[in-house]
Amino acid sequence: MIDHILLGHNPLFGVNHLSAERGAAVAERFEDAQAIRQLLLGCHELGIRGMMMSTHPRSSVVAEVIGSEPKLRADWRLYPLVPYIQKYVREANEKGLLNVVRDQLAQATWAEKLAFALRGGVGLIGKDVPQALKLLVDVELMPFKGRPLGAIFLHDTLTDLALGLGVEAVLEVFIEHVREKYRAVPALTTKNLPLLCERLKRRGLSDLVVMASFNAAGFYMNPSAEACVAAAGTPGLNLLAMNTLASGALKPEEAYRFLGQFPAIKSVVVGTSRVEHAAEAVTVIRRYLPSLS
Amino acid sequence: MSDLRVGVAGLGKMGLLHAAVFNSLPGSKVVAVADPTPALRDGIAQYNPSLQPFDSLNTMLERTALDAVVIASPVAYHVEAGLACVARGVPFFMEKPLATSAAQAAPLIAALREKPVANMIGFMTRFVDSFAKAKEIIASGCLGKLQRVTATIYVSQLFKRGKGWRYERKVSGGGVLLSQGSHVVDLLTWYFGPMVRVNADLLQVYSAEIEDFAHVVLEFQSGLHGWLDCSWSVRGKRTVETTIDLLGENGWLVVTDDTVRLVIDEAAGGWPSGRTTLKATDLFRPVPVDIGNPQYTREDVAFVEAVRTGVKTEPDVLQGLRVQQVVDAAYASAAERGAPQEVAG
Repeated sequence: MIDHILLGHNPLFGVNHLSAERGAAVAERFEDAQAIRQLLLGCHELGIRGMMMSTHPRSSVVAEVIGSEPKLRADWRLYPLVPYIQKYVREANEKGLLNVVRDQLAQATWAEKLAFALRGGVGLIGKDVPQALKLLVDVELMPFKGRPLGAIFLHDTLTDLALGLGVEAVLEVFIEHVREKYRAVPALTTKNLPLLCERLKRRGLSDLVVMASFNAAGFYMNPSAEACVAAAGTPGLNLLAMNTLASGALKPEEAYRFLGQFPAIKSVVVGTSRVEHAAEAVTVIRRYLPSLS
Repeated sequence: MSDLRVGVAGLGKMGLLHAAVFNSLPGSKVVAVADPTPALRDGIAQYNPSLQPFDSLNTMLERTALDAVVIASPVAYHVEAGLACVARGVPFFMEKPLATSAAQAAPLIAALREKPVANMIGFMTRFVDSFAKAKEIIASGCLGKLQRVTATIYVSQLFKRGKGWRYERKVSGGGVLLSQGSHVVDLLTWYFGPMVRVNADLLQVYSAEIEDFAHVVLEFQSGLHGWLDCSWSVRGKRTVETTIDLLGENGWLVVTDDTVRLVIDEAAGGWPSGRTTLKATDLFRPVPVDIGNPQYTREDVAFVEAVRTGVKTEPDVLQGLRVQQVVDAAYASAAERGAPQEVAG
């Protein structure tokens, strides 16, 4: 259904959950498109074919690298994570949340805007939430036009905001839109795995792809590591484990041995900036999670 | 015990975030939301009919029985919203900062003195794992006599003329010092006690009415000296980055949003001599629900607890006033080309 091993995009963009300082240092290395090319080709060599991708401003450089490299162009699948939430947060600070939504919608194509205007227009965002939401997703996905997409992920801030506000129907709008318009696999990212599993079950939604932190250290696992482990037993859950090395606190050996106990784990994000680390991760993953080979 | 019934006034970024947290915490439920713009309030109510939408805080207070209110409107409206809550005896959680100036906040301070209700102000940086750990370390006394503190808070946010209320002095009260620097002023007074004197240099690069850069020299009642530097127009900071660097006679403490580094000569206060590094993975504590960031959950949990038990919690509106007085003094100093100013209070 989706790639079993995905390359994480955070190191390329200077995101390091452990240390902003270290993240910035790695990002500097990837200012150079050649470094990105080497990492991607190295991972391709290891059998990795998919990569998480936010709409970070630097993502266009990664897209160019993929487009210009025949090996990657042929079968490298992108897994967009939308929206690029930091941009929204900074812009909301700058001009207010509603203006951010308005300005985003203004980037939609004329045909899409026309369809939306006929249904009420941007002044009536609240009256037609599903349409506004679909249009926002379309705008976010514009940079990925024409690329093979593995799955489309909703950012955890939006998934969790919808859960918290009790407006899960919004998640269903996202799920249906991704399936119908993009013929892609919809996926939800969350920092609250047990809560999401419970709500999805309540709404009768199963067989979904969910990405969440899952590691032997309990790092970023809310409300507790135990509750997340229990939630991993939810029938029909396809879990994509991220933060598997707990930002470097765990060695691959202990990290992937732990993950090997959970049949719900269908995929693992390997977030590294070095081919040799990816190679080590892939070897150990194949040993402990043979179903992902 | 039944859930606290919470109403949220102002559905911007922070209002939505707190609404989501309070609505999913064990012990509280959001029953009403208020915002003058129909878009978000109606959109939310359409999907969750248990949230009643209103066009203003006052109508919300009139028509619903609330145990607590979240005030997340633009800064200039905080005081009148707080007054409406006090008048009805409803506890409130207010987003920071308190007001556009200490003078503007005076009626609310007076009303609370007259008729106290549980309240809290959203200086959430205290609830970040690393900064909370730093409080423990400082309180342990392991650094010996403190000599100097320097602090920075930076984010890459503004590189052209800003739109919206944050850039109108009348509505926001000030620029990056009040909006972001106030978090650090709160942290430093929490760590080291009140500040008595400041002098400041402000710089406007992109904004017409408010500062985009601020440098404030600080003097604490305890005798500690230091400075704070802040900007929302520096390059290369995709999220807000805060750093506090503290020197004492026994060593050195550096705290960032994700890491604590302590280096001390002699073991003291329960900390070993030499270098101690606590990373995000060492400091992480799970929260009942995480929306955006765990510090918001922790402050909201503390507020629910304060409303339930009636025990005063920190940071409250009075702390908000102390922060405001420091910022006011910094603005007064900058207006006099950096002449030192006494902090009121």
